Parts: sequence; C-alpha cells; structure tokens
Amino acid sequence: MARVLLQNIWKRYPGDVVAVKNFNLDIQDKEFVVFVGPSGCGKTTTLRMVAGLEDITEGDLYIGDRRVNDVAPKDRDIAMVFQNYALYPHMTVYQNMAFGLKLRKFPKAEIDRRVREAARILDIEHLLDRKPKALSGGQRQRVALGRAIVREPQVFLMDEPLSNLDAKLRVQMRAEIRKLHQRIQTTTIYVTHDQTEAMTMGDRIVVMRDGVIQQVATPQEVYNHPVNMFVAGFIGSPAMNFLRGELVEEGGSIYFRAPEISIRLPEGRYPALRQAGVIRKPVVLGIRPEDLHEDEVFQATYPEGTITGRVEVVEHMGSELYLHFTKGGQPIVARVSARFDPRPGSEVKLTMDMNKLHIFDAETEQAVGVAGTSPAAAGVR
Amino acid sequence: MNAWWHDPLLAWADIAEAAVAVERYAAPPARRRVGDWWRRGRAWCVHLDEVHFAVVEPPDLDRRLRAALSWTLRALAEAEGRGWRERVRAWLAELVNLPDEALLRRIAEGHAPTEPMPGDGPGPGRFVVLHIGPAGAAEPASRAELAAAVREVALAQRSHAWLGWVPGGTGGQGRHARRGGQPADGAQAALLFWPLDDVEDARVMDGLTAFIETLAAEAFAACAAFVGAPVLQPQDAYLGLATAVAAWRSRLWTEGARKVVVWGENPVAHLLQAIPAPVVRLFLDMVRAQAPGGDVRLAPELAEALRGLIAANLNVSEAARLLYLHRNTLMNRIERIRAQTGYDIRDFDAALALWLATLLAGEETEAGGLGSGSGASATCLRRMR
Repeated sequence: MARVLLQNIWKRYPGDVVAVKNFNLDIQDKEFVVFVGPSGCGKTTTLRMVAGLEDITEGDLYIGDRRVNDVAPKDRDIAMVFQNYALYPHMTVYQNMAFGLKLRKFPKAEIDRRVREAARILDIEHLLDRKPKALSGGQRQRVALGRAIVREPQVFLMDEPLSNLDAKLRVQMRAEIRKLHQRIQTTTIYVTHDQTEAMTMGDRIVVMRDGVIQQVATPQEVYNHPVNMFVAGFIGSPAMNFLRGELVEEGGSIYFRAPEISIRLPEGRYPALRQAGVIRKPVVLGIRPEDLHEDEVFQATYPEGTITGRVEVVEHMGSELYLHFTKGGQPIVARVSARFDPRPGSEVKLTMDMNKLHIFDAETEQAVGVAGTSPAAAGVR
Repeated sequence: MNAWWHDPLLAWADIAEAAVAVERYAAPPARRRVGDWWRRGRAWCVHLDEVHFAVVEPPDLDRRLRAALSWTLRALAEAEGRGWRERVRAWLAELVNLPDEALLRRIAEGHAPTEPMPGDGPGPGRFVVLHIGPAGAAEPASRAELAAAVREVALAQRSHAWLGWVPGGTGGQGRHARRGGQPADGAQAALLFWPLDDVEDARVMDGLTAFIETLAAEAFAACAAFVGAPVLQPQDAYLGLATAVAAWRSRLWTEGARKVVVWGENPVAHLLQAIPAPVVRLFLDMVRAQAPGGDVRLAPELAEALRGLIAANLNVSEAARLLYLHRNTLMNRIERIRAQTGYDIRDFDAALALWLATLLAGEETEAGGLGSGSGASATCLRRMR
C-alpha cells in the first residue's frame, strides 16, 4: 500500500502539445481516486505517467516515499487494468493469471499461492481450469482483474476497465470493484469518462479538462459545490441548467435578472456576492434539474424562486419525468416526479430550491458568492 | 492460385478414400497448429491455415491416416511459411534503410518486386510495426529485458503474428532518415503480420488496441502499432509492408498519445516527409525573408499559441479557451509572433506558412533535434485533413 504524490506534473509531447498542465494531487494510502473528464482531457495520460508508460516532462512523482520519475514501469510496484482485457486464448484462467508472474520468474509455489488467493477474492476458483472462450463477459473481466491482483501491487491503475461491458454488467462490476477495494485496501487510481462511475466509485474524484485539474473533492462536494461551470455541467444528469443574466441590487435585495426571469436571491449570499464584485455584471445562474420542484410546499417556501413556462417536451423515465421548456429564450430542463404529468403545451409552475442555486461569473465561468471556490478549497493540494 | 495445402489435401483424400470440404473460419482460430484435428459433431476437421479448415468424412477415419496428413501439412507449411517470412524480412531490411522520399515514391508508384512471393504468401491481413517506447530509465539492460518481455507476451497472444525485430532496432527515424541519420531514441520495433478473416478496420483497431494494452499490463511496455495497407493477396504484401514502415516513420509528425496509427491517416505528414531537402530549404528561406531577424523558430509558448489558433480555426477567443489562457495573453503572444517573424497568424496564409515552417525547421537541424519552433502538432495535422 502506498501514498501517491504528483507534484507540478507536466506532459508535453513533441511539437509542444501540452497534454497535462501543472497537475498536483496527493492520493492517500488505501484511497480510491477517480480521474474523470471528457475525452482528451489528460486523465489517461496522467495515469500512464504514474505507470511509467509515458515520460514525465516536468514535475515529481512519488509512490510511497520513493521518487519514481526515472524508475522503470516494472519496478514501480503497480498493476494495471485496461478496458481491453486480451486474455491468452489458449491458456486456462489459472495460466492467464499466472503468466505475468511467470514472466517475472516468480517461484512456482509463490505463483500458485497468489493465483489461488486472487481467485478466492474474486470468487472464480471454480473457473481456474476453463479457457477464456468458455467465460462470460463478467467472468473475463474478473480474470483481467485477477491478473492485476496476483502482482500484489502497492497501487492499482485502472483505465476505463468497464467500458467494454454492457450497461447491466457495468453496474454490477462497478460494485464488485468497489467491494474488492474494500477487501484488499490497495491505493487505486481509476480513470473514466463516465460521471456516474466516478460519482459511485471514488472516495474522491478529480475532474479534468484540457489537461488541467478543475476540482478535486468527494463526489458529494463536487456535486453540491462545483467550482466552475465546466464541473457543474459535466457532473449530473441531466446536466445543470444555465441561465444567463445579471445581478442587480434594488432596495437592499439582490436579484438575478434575465429576460422573463427575476429571482430574489437568498439574503445569506449577499455578502459573498458583493465581495466577489459581480453586482451589475453578467452572471450565469445554475440550477440542477432535480432542484426545480413542482409541489406547492416549495412554492410556499420560495415564492421568489418560482418560474412558469410552457412545456415543450415531456420525457418519461419511469419514476420521473424530464420536462423541457424555454424561458426568455433559454432552455430549461426539470426533473420531476412521474405523478406530476403535464401535457406538452401546458403551463407549469416550478420552484427553484433557493439553497441550491449556483452563481457563476459569466466571463471566467468560476463559481462566485459561495465559500470553497478557491483552488485550495477545491481540494487541489 | 491454389493454396499450398490444396493439392496435398486432395492427394491424401484420394489415398484415404475420404470426402473433403474446405470451409472458412467465422473468426480466426485461437491457437491451432496446421494439421491439428478436432471433432465437429461426428465429422473430423483439420486446421489448414488462419482462414481455412477442412471437414473430412468418414467419421471413423483411421488415426494413422490422420497423422499422415498432419505430418505432410506441417512439413509443407514450414517450408512455405519460411519462404514468405524470409522474403518479407529481406524486404524490411531494405525498406527501413530507404530515405523517406524513396520509400514514399515506391508506395506512390505501386512498386512491386519482380520475383513472385514464395508459396501462398501471407493470407489476408495487415503488416504492423510494433514500436516499443523507451523503458523508464532506458538503460540498455532494461531495454533488452523489456524487449524480451514484449516478445513473450506477443507470442503468447498471437504466436503466428510475430515476424521478428525490425533490423537496426532503433532505425527508421522518419524525418531524420532523409539525412541518413538515425538517432537512437532507446526504442525498439518488431514486425507483425496481423491476420484477419476480413479487412474490417474496426476489428483490426480493436484487436491491436487490446494487444497493446496487454503488453502494457503484462510486460510494462509502452507500445504503439503502425498499421500498413490491407494485404488481400500475396502480391499486395510488398506495399502492405512499405506502408506499415512509412506509417511508423511518420510517428514523429503525429501526436504522441495515439497507440494505433493506420497508413493513410496522416496524409499531410507523408506529404511533408516527401518534400526533397533542397525544396524544404528554399521554402524556409522564403519564409525567413519576411522575418525582421531572419528567425522564425518560436519559443514553446508562442508555438503553443500558433497551434491553438490553428486548432480553433483562427478564432482568438476559442483558441484562448482551448489553451486555458486569457484572451489578452493570447493576443499578446500573437503580437510577439508578429514582431519576431513578421507574420500575423490571424491571417490564414500567414498562419499556414509559419505552421509549415515550424514543422519543417527541424529538417535543417543537423544535430537531428527539432528546432524549438517545431511546435505545430498532430492536432493541427488532423484538423487540416
């Protein structure tokens, strides 16, 4: 087990293509950290630098107490699991799991002990004599995990290991990997582009974009307090609604104003908004679809946060509905209970949960007027 | 042309008084040797090559008769296989030593060796140059150990695909090859022939990606695959091999993060590779003539600004967003580029000339290193296609 420390890490490819910019992260021993972001954001490159498959252009990487920038990948005491688990087709499950150790000339008895132990942890002891073609997708994925577990590494590096599985199996394997981590307690770095995977699996998640860390925090913190519009829009499904407008102060109150929208913001946020200097400036108001409520209790509690709109599309999701409508030319989606079943074209009244409003500076796209939006507070150490 | 196993199989069927039907595999068999027998229902089947197998009746075929066919097929396969494999290795030794221009000229002219391919040649598939990146610390012992591990994993995964190491190991440095220099980058390369039942690109890509990821996970090797044009019949083999070598050589012009690069994906890179050195010098002289100090090599942050602006279709605001810079910072860099080079890169012609100049500037550097301004990137290459 080990702590992994990335200090001021940069990755430049020939031709000055910068893939990772000044990446700083302190991953604690036994922690499960998820790198998440859109394709090309640098998450896999960062993982490959930790693995030693990519050179680090600048910065320091520590695994445990050892600086490993110049240590060959095989000597870093890591194990990798990838999306494409090419098992050796002519070998049994046992031989597949043993192959890497055999390659490194481990004694037979030690190989046997490790393979059987990994098979026990993964509950595939009964499959050890089978060949890959006789396994289901989930069983093959377990064997791929087994090949990594037998190394008994200090750190697991997983690069989208579930992307090739169908949706149902992915959900099942997600839980299994999490359980596996709880059992073996090995520091794990997990890369995914799937925000649901990130939210459900990570102790902490690292949201990346264009080679830069946007936010590092627990899933709840990232969801509830995104530091900028990118994180706010990337995490959550359907994505957060963004309404462009400006903040105006009238009679001691601060309002968010946009065409056909005027919302008086909660007083508790006034000092921070004034301090941020965003009054009379263009801002973006963010509200998650699930924080728009149709019930009257909310309307009575937050009358200043109620908006009306004509429903354009209703998406039935089973227990809930997605209502699409436009207000002042800006599209809005609300996620409401299926019991509330308006017809397309009907007028609806929805109330924002005023404690869950997000305000972003329209130019910098950074969250304003809330505590915890500095990089330090965002978890970047 | 009949396959190498065709005539001996029929001759054996006559002697054994057996009926034989040749079928194609739905998917390439996992690991089956020529002459291996197995049952399908009541009928016997025998493996012929990566693509074909024979179904043999009657079901109560004598064991000695089966053994005789196995022995004959294996002996012939070895002779035939050695034939085309050796021919391919000889071609490879020649191709990796050709300058870029000559290599690409051969491909463009559809060059084909006069001597026929021995036996049946390689079946449908693609040649792949497997480039093994430098091992972390990159000492020679570590490199040799890494190469050995890669070979072990490759053989375990695809034993028939392995054709051996690329001669010179570190040779074929693409843009440097035209000067005859082949600086070592601590890398080694192997040649594979990736057989396939059909030439569907997606399957080749998936298979190679899985292969490369397995090499990373098992051998801790950072590999990239450079894939040649499809080989559908033996006479395609030379060009299939040449295009794999050319794709491999173009790697210095492409983005480093890509793990599978297929011939034809980087036409601009190949065009630049093919420009004769005197023409490159002439072009650079013309571009430099506009620069007040005669120097168009850009500092890294300026090269990044140029790259970003091209990637954003010369839209400054979009480029600033892509580069994570304030718009004013980017404007300042654009102005610095203009002051240094005389080129206002917000103009398409100027941006194009400077971009090509920064790419080609490395050609002139006798030391073999790229000039500081070699900065335009594969991102740009891709977007310009």
